[in-house]
Amino acid sequence: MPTIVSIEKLINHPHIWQGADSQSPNIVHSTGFKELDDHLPGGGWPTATLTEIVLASYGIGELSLLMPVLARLSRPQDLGLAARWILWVAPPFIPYAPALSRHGIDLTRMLFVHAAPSHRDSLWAMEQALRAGSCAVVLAWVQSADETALRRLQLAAEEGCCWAVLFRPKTALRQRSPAALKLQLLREGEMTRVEILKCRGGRPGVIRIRCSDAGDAEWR
Amino acid sequence: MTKALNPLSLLTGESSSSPRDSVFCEPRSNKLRASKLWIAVHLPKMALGSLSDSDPHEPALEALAGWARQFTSSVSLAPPQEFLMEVNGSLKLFGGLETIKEALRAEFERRQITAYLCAAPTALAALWLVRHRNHDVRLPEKLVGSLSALPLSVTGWPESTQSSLQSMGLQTIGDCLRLPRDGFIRRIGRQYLLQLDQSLGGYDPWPEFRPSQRLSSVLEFPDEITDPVALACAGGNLIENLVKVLRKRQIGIESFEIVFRHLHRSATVEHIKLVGLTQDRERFLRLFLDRLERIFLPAPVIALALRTGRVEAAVEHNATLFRDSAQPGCEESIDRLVERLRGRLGATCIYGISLVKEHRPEAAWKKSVDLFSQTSPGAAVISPWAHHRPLWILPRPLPLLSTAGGFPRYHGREPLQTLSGPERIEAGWWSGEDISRDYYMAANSKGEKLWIYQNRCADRNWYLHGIFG
Repeated sequence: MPTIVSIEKLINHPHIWQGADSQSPNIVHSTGFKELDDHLPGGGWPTATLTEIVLASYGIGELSLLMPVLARLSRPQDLGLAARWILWVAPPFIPYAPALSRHGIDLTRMLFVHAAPSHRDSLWAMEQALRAGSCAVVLAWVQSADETALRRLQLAAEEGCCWAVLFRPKTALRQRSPAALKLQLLREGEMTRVEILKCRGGRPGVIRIRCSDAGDAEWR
Repeated sequence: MTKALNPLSLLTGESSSSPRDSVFCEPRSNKLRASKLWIAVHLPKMALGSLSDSDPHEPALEALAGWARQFTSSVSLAPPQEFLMEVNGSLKLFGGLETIKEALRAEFERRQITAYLCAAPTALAALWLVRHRNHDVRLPEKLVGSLSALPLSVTGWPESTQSSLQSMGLQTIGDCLRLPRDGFIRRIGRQYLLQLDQSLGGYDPWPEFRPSQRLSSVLEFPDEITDPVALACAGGNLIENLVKVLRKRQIGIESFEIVFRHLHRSATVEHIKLVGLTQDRERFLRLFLDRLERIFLPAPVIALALRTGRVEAAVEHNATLFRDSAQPGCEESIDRLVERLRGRLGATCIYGISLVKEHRPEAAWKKSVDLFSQTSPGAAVISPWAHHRPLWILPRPLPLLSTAGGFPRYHGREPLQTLSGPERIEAGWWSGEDISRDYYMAANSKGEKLWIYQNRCADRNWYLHGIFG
């Protein structure tokens, strides 16, 4: 039996993808890397969505890639935004305070949920934080997550208007993903190679960027 | 009732006396003083904290004072070692002072507590007398005589005051009472004169002790229950009732516990801690359900009980009529988030970090579990030597394997390539944790950038300490 649904409702349905020409209602945050900004729709990281970052090993510039945007989000008063938190769920090592603050990050806005006993707990913590609406970004390191879990995260991110960044191992490459943006990171000499595997409203592509270790570029 | 119209001067003011009056002046109304009888209870071991009470949440002194309230409603605490009871109104009911003292002594004996008791017409006098293990003083007329013999140490005045009195040749309270009032004020201090007056029957207010309140309710099931849905439902009902009571009395709680009672088995008790005082039903319910999802119940449940922690007066904030979507109430909802995460994952699972001024890399930061009291000004304390520091640091340095040539390797057979270094860090000798290391930035064939060091002391081994993420 057919039901009548208004066209706005259909258009705004989160499961319906729209082409590049649609106006994205999302606020985007500049990545701090011009090449990447130029490639991403709207000119920056899509917030209020799920971003998946696939990487084979740590130490290839995965955090440096996010440092400029995290530094800006940790000082929202500079952008005229409400103060929100940055939550790290189950990071694989200890984020080192002197280096973070060297990158211009306000440490008082950081919260860490340490090594939850299981992946289920990590995903649960991430979803709670996304829905709560008090965090600007939730970063999480999860070994395994099925498509249902990813979809839940995507919906929670939209609901809480919070950017979810999920770091995944290489096995996640073949997995279908409801994420708005899916990247793979590789090291190429001094450069970090960012492969955009999927990008809602944009095109896949490959970008090479130079991430600074010391963060002096961002450091005021 | 004409007498009541003429208020009695309770406070023996120092200005009302002529300079030649001594500290002790004849009290104006004997009737007033005769109408009270205080028992002071001195517990010499209380300060050491050697008393173990059944309830770990309540201080032992308060527990005893709460118990003593069965004899009189007017109980006051004199921490750390004493409490006071005004029993004049209870003498007839309980059959005299000795009976009450006997009952107190029996209870202390049962609890295996050493205690000394002494009764006197004023609270302060009772306190001073009991510190000197004195006998009871029932009659106000005898008070001056009994107090006069006490040494100054019973007053608990500061050491400096006592020693200056002693240097003047004053050893007892009686010596002080013979001094002129204005001189005593000038040399020793007004508050001490006031205390002497209070001990002899001046106006002596003691804040009344009110035992902390806890709420509890039990839901007994007709049968043994294993179904988590039924338990959730029962818990929901208990919380519903609790919230009704909290709202009605305008009080809030900071913690509660859920007790699952089993047949022939000790109960499973779950403590749930809240961030801040609240009476919010949603928060209680969510925390309870989160916990219920995770706990293991060893046996079916026959009854579910809810016990609150300390109850305190709470003011609920006004709810907003229109939800402001642009400004989600951040500080408040982060509390709730932290509370939920802690409720499920444990109290120490969530923390913040801050900088420490320290040369040793592993000590240059610290965790802070108390999240909302950080006042670190962020960028202001960046150490100037923190230029090449990795974003990841390992909880403890990881010893690296070496290649045949003695070079370190990690994730591969090839030796690591050093990119920069060495940076020598030698520090910590003053605290006995001295380090002497040469740090390098290095990379392996996979392109992982690492922060490694070689020990300059004994072993000269290589360690991985950080990763440039």
